Amino acid sequence: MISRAQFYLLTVNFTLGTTLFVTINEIIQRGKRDAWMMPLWAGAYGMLAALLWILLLRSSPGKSPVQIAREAWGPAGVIVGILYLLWFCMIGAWALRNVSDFMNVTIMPRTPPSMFHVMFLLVASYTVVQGTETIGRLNGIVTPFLVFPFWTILMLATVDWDWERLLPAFQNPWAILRFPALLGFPFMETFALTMLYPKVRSGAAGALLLGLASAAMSISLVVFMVTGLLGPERAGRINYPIYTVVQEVEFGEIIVNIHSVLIVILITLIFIKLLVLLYAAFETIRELSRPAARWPHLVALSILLSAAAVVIYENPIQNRILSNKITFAYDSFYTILIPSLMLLSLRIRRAIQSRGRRS
Amino acid sequence: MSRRQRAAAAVLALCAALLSSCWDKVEINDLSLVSLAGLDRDPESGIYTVYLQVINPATGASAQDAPGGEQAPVYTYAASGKSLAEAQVTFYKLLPRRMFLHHTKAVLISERAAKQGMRDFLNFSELQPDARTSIPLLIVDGSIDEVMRTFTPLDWNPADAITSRLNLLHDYAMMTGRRIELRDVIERTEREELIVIPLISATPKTGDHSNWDVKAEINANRNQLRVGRRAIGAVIENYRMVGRLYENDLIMYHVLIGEKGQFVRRFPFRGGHITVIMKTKRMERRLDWKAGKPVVRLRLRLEFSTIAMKEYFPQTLDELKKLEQHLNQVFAEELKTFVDKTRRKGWDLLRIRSLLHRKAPNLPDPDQAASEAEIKIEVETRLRGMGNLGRLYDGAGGEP
Repeated sequence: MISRAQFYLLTVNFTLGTTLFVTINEIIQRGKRDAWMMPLWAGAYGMLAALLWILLLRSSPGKSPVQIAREAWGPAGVIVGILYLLWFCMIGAWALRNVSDFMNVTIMPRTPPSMFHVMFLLVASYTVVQGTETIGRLNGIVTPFLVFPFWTILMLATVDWDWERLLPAFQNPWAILRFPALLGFPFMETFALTMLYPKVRSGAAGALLLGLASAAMSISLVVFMVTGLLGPERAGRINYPIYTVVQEVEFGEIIVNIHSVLIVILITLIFIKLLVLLYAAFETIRELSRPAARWPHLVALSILLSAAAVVIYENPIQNRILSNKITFAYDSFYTILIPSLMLLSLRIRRAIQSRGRRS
Repeated sequence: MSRRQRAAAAVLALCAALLSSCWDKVEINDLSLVSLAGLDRDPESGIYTVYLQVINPATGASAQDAPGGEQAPVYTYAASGKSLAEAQVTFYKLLPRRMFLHHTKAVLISERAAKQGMRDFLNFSELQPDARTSIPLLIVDGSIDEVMRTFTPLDWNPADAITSRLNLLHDYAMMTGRRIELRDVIERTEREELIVIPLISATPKTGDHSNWDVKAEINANRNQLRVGRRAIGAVIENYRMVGRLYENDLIMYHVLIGEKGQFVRRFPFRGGHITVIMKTKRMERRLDWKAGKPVVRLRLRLEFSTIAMKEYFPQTLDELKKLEQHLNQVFAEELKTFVDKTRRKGWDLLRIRSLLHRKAPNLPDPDQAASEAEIKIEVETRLRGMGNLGRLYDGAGGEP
């Protein structure tokens, strides 16, 4: 069992995970000067979606979506469970690939990508085996080390700040409509956290909603700062704008080249995202087949994920298409359609049962 | 103590007289550590000149602040003789310490000696128990005397400077190969194959280049050594240098023989050009037969990154596919042109003959078959890596 605060921090870090360095340039490219509003709208949508999940989870307290699927649809629910398993693996592999791409482009160009994948999986598997409490506590311990350095570095960067880069403001508040992919990634992906939901002592719903809101605000603030520091023209074209922002920090003649600090923060954030996804996939397997051992499944999952990370996309262009065009529909299917159907059939089934009891 | 024990103790004590201790010890101070060796042979008189660059121990890391720190890091000795062994012993007219060849890092041979043939020299070095043949062999373009008496800035020991440049040129430019050592020349030649080894030359001189004064010169393009002059590779056939390969040809040669590394290349594209950093991934050779003649299919897989692509940046999958197909086709054509050009010179750089020997050992006339063999080259490029831009800036004002 984990506490409400731990669940809140997990939600925030999971949502920030890969977002901070994968989509920032895409957001600014679409939204230009008003891009910082887009994460806010997307976050609001994410909270609405979360309300749906909470409704579903509250209808069968103590059960995860995979167990609810079995309750609602019986044996057919197993298929839903397997689908979720694949979905978690897909996102996990994608996060892994994003990290190896990032590392290859920025500071470690000669390390084979699989090295990153395997090392991440090794540590994540070990943590998952230790159980939910370890995940919650680990995340709680590392969060301060992520938050303070991250914002300190961004604050140091503000010496280059120029308000002109953000003007004229409020020209295009509905830019989000041009980039609906942001609703899918990262906000609908947070559905993976519902696998942890039943393990929260109390008040999980509030923590989830608050976490999403905080993450949306953070992304919005980061986009705002990146736009103010690089200008929408450069930030929209550079692959990793945050990295560039920090690279350009020059504070006196002493504080230069502090981007390695940022890299440590980013890879830790992605690690937490991967951790939650691996946990969700592992938990799905456990709930579907109730195995006695733990390690064999994690080894299998690691092999699957490390292979999927290599083949999930071939080049940056495919990656962009995957994230901009496909994720929204793909994530909607898993996080809106299936949960709605589950909720509906649960309601109908219960209505029929209660009518049967009454007569 | 019994009498027996006493006798045993006495015998043991007497045995101590046989212990030799370190009677033939050689102090490091008594050795001259050779770091670079050079060889020249005058084709008319037949006289060998051997050059040895000996490390000056007073300039090592431990002697940085010692008196005499401002000394040359290496000293070049030269000796001549009718045969290599004679030249070798003649060194002691000049050399006060025992010659120590184990740490030699590279061997240089003058071009005229390489054109006459290097067999005798290679035999001699394989014969020496204390000389390794697993070190790079380079051919000097120009005067070997000048090259052996030239310092290299930054890495002051010329042998270190040469070997590290060979590695860098391999990793980042594919202008040198991994198989450039003495033993490779021997092995390849004994198998009747060609081998390409790097050339080295001295750059233009200002002032007294053999003096330490060059340390004060800012222009590092002068007064030092460079790999290659215009040509970078020397083609060796049968222990003789038979030709040269220039930059682009050398890259293609290394790609074709399956070296691993990355290189930069500019391809014609849409009326202009596109610069691509490519990484070799896989090379497969297949031998088929068509109407009694061998057909060699070379399949190359390369990955490229957008890092150098300042001219054009594909945005859709369709554009990317077109770019990849274009690169496949253009590069395959360029490779084919290169192969045809070298085959016309009679150079079997792709080692088709050995391939036939391995796959079809019973051919009556392997030379004939190798020269008749048809070579087909297929290239498959894939975009993999990326630079830090997702889209290029597109204002006017680029290269015309």
